[in-house]
Amino acid sequence: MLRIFAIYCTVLVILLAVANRNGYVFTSMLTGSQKADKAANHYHK
Amino acid sequence: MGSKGKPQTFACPACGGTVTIKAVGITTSAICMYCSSVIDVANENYQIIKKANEKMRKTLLELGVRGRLFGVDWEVIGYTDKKDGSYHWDEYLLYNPYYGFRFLVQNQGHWNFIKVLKKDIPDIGDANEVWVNGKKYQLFLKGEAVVDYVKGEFHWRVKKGERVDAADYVAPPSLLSMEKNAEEIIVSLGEYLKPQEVASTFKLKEMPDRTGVASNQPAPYQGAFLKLWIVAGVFIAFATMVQNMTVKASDNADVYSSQFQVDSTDRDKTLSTPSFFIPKKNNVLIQSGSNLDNDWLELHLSLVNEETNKEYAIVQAMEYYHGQDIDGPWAEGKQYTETYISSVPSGNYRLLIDADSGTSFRGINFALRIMRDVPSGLNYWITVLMILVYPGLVMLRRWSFENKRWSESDYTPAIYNLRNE
Repeated sequence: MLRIFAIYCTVLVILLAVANRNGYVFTSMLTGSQKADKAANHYHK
Repeated sequence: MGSKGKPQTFACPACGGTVTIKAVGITTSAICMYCSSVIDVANENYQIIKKANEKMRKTLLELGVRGRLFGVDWEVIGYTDKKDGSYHWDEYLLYNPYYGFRFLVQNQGHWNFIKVLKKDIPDIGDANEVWVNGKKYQLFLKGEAVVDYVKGEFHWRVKKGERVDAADYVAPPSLLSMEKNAEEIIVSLGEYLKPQEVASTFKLKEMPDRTGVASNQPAPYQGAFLKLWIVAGVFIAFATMVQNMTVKASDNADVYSSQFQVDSTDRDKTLSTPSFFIPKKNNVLIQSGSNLDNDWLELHLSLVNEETNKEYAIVQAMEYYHGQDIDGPWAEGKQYTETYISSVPSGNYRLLIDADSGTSFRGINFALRIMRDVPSGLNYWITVLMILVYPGLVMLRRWSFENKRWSESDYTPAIYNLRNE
């Protein structure tokens, strides 16, 4: 069980490093503030 | 008397039935399996200690059953049913000619392997805690043990109705047990056994159901609990290192900032910032603030990539109200907010702003600041929290387990003593 916990913690720390490196913020990912590929032509008004 | 290890038989002086003794030369009393009379076998006169006319009871482990425990072959040679009030437990006497005697005790489906200690333990039975072999044992219960039924052979004179004062001390998975009468004090040291271990040792198909938590039953993660916290601590240290490196490597750079003023004529208008450049893929932080005065402001913001039209939409809401009532001045809400947008690719962007405010929508000023590659403490704290979840749950489970254990005791340590609160 201790080994599984150590693996779980390793995954978390790697996730933290990858997220920080690429500018992911866990909370903004959860709240879904990012809407990809949505056409946005407002500023052409 | 026969030689060590060879059983000896004789006729029961009460009923004539054949009585066999295994621990020849050590056994001092034997119970006839036909009439349950207790016979003195210390010498060859075989006198009746207590005459009885009771049919032998069936027990979970029958006399003569053998099994290997802790690397030694044991044979069940005696059984006593003891009670304290209406509360009963089973004590099986195990024998090996080279290792002597041990007890296997079954109590509400929990098992203990017990050895008599040939050691003087000062204050046992009186003190609330005693030390044995560098281990602290906590008083768990005091009571009276009465022999309710016996069968087999014993190395002491045992008979139905015999009474001793008893006290149990615990240091899970160990148990220190004291039995005292006018003549002697016997102290024994027990070790908790898993029921499966007993079942497989003696090839038992059915076992009594385990109920409650035994006085010396090991708590979940016994022995590994400290290691679990050490592992958690090590990984929190790693996470802290990663976070510190991120903070040091971050640009934490301003991209754009400006003041805006909106009024009722701007209600349906979309404002736009000038184009600005984000040089590398990373997060974007948008901070907004306003001098709101008993009003609210909602900003629908879209960060739009000018080349791909990809849009990152967020809503920022602020409200600030204040006043005076019978309790004095009050204020609620805030005039500032900030939002992270994750992983925005490099490119030229604009921020589109749709503002909405209170019903009057009178002139409102607000400021916007856009930053990129800003280290967020949120990721770090979420990681730390996720690491602590499992040890925390284990800790809660252990606490509830200990609570259950000590709810059966009259000597509950203060930390688990919720019953009297």
